[in-house]
Amino acid sequence: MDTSEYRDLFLAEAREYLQGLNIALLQLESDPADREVLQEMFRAAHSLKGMSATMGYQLLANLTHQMENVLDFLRQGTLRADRDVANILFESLDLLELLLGRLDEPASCLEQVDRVVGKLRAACEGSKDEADFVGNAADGDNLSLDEFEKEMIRVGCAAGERARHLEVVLDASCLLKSVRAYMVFKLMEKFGHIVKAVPGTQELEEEQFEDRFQLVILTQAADETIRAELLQIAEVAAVSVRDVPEMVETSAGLEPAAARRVELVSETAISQEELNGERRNIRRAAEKTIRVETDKLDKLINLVGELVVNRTRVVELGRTDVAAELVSAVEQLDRITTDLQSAVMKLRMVPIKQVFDRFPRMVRDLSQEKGKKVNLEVRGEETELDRSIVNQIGDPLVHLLRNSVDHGIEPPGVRVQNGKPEEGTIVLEARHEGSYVLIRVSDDGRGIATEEMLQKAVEKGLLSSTEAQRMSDEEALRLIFRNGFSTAEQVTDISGRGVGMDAVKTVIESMNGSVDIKTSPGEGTRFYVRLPLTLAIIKAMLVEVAGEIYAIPIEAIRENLYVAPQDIKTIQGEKVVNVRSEVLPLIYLGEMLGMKSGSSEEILSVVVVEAAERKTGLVVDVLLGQQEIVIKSLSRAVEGIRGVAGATVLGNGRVALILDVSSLI
Amino acid sequence: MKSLMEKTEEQPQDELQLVAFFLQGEEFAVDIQKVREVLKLPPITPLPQSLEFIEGVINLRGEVIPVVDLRKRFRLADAAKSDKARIIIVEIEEGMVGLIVDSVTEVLHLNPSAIELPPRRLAGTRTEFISGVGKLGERLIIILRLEKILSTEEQLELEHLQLAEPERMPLNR
Repeated sequence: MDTSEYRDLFLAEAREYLQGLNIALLQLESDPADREVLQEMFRAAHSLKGMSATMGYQLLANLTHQMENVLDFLRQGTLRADRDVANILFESLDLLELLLGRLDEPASCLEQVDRVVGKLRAACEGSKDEADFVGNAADGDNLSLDEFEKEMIRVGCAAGERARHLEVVLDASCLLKSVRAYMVFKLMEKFGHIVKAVPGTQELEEEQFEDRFQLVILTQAADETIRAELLQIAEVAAVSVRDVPEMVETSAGLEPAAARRVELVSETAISQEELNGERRNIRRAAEKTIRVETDKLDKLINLVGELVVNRTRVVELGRTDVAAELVSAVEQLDRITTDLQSAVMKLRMVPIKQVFDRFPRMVRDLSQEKGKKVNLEVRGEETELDRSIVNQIGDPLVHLLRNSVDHGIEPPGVRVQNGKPEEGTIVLEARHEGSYVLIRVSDDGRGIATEEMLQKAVEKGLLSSTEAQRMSDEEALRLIFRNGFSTAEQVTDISGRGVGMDAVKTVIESMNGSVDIKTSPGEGTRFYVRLPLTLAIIKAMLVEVAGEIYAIPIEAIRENLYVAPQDIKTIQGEKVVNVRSEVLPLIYLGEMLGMKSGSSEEILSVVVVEAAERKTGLVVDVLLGQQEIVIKSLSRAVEGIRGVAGATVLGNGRVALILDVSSLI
Repeated sequence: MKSLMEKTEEQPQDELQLVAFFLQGEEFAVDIQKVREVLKLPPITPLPQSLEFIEGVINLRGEVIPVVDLRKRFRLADAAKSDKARIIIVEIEEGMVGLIVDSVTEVLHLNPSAIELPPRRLAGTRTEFISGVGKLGERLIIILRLEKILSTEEQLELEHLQLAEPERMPLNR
């Protein structure tokens, strides 16, 4: 079967299961006896296995199969979910993620899979002896009998034969697997009939199996005899013989899709009984969603944007006409398109949960590595914001959290000495605030001493000592975002990617957001990240330069000024103007953009913008006023032009460029 | 009857359909498969500090699309745009791009056998942009190769050096 077209769907679904497993595993770690979580994890692993097998990803199927075994033992209570087991499972999840990223070259992960599978097996063996394990591993999972086969068994049983279910495991190093399988077949024909082989005979001949296969045979021989004879064959590592499960239950392994449907139905039944579990509610919400390609969505949004632009034209036309009919029709159109636009824009909104979900795991690993005790509280994960923001906010948040674990929370000993609980708390919270989303990362750690910050800044040559003396505490604190000041000195897994605090600020500002910091020494530090709800629409000031209209994002604008030519002074060849005893450098936007600027005789219109803590006055020809604009990206062919962040379409259908203030000044 | 049969055999599936246009008196054409639509010149917003041959960007039903002035691209004499001037929207690797041409004439059907490989230099345009020259009766039609239409001079030079002996570019079909 050609499965390539399902690949993306598989990946998306598999990642969801993986994320779910990660979260559940964290829950399990805090409450090893939570059977419901175990049940959920088992189901997730089982579904993953089925999906992977259907898609022909054998390594994935193998690994998840082993995980399923471990989870099964945990579920049955024969194995305890201690830290070691949890770590092995976490490792398996990481490996699964790696495998998902390398679907096309699974061979590169072969060794790791072997290693982790070994660990998982060892974990199982810790609870049961091997023969039992092999038996349990099969557990009828890949076995299903059709009516014909069942009939064969019935006939055989009537003739005094017994149906036996065999699982044969070959040495991992076995080279001629098909030959060994053939020998097993030959031998079994001596004992009786083979009713069924899983995988099928053809797959076995073509070596399309890992290291094991299953047979159902009809025989009169004793189990021990069969086992002993089979083990005589070279490279047969293990054999289990047991009853054929009473006319086998569901067809799990072979038709996972169908099996999953069955599962869903049964889940629905369960969830109606025990509706109060929050997890189930979330799952039910997920069932109400539909996957849509982002391209299709963007196209829709684009078209609605066009509709809105045209609406504006029609509304304007309607104003010039006196016909009452037309006026009311136009008003109606106006209302509908506005509603339509906001409905469509909402399609882009996704809960921030998508990003937050990976943090508990990260904080756990990090605090373990650093020898700290940290409890991460996540709040407001249902807060929705634009998909593109959600995609970009991950890295900055990773860095803020990492900063809190690394530098904020003290080691347990120190905390106890200072009369704090041994376990530190980091709160990650998101909430709406007007047309913004506020994300707060706060810790109850040691806080930041501003004197040290200043000292360090002076050492690094970022400040002169007189400048340092004049600085307020707040200003000093913001030094943390200054280029060249990252406090993370050691290169570690996460911050090693070069995301310093300055990069955090840059990324957030590139999304028209802002970041701020508050601290109280000894009590903790709080980072506030303010993000617009959507990147697609921003407020902007429209200005005219050399006959063209440009948009400046309002976030970057501090104020507008009118400056008389005689107030402009020249310092070292640069034009500046004095505003409230502050020296403001001026940039003539027209010159900057290589256009012929308009008149410069009269009073100049100046837009004061700020980026990277630097204020600059942009001299424009005309200030046209504020407007909400829909951001369109520039084509790949012309992207990366300095000073231009994107484009928008104005009410008259013309394109206006959006200026990127940070690269202009 | 027989002649009819022959005719259909002579027009196999791989016959090329091209959109033909004029540029400073020369006839050019692009593969119709790459052409999305042909527009009259809309207002064009200039892009500061972009490549010289990029005339600016236009709004095509809500999408912002860069426009290349083919005269500038091929270093032909600049001329005022008449109302016959059109923008041919083509789809290339980088996305949709508009090409400003003097006028668009027709859709041509051309048999691949009527297309010759490009000479080294032609009408002052670089051969990087030409995939072949089509013959239709007395007409000579320069068939454009769009892949490199947005490359800078430097990129083109570099490629020239790297392709040790580009002798004859195979027809890019």
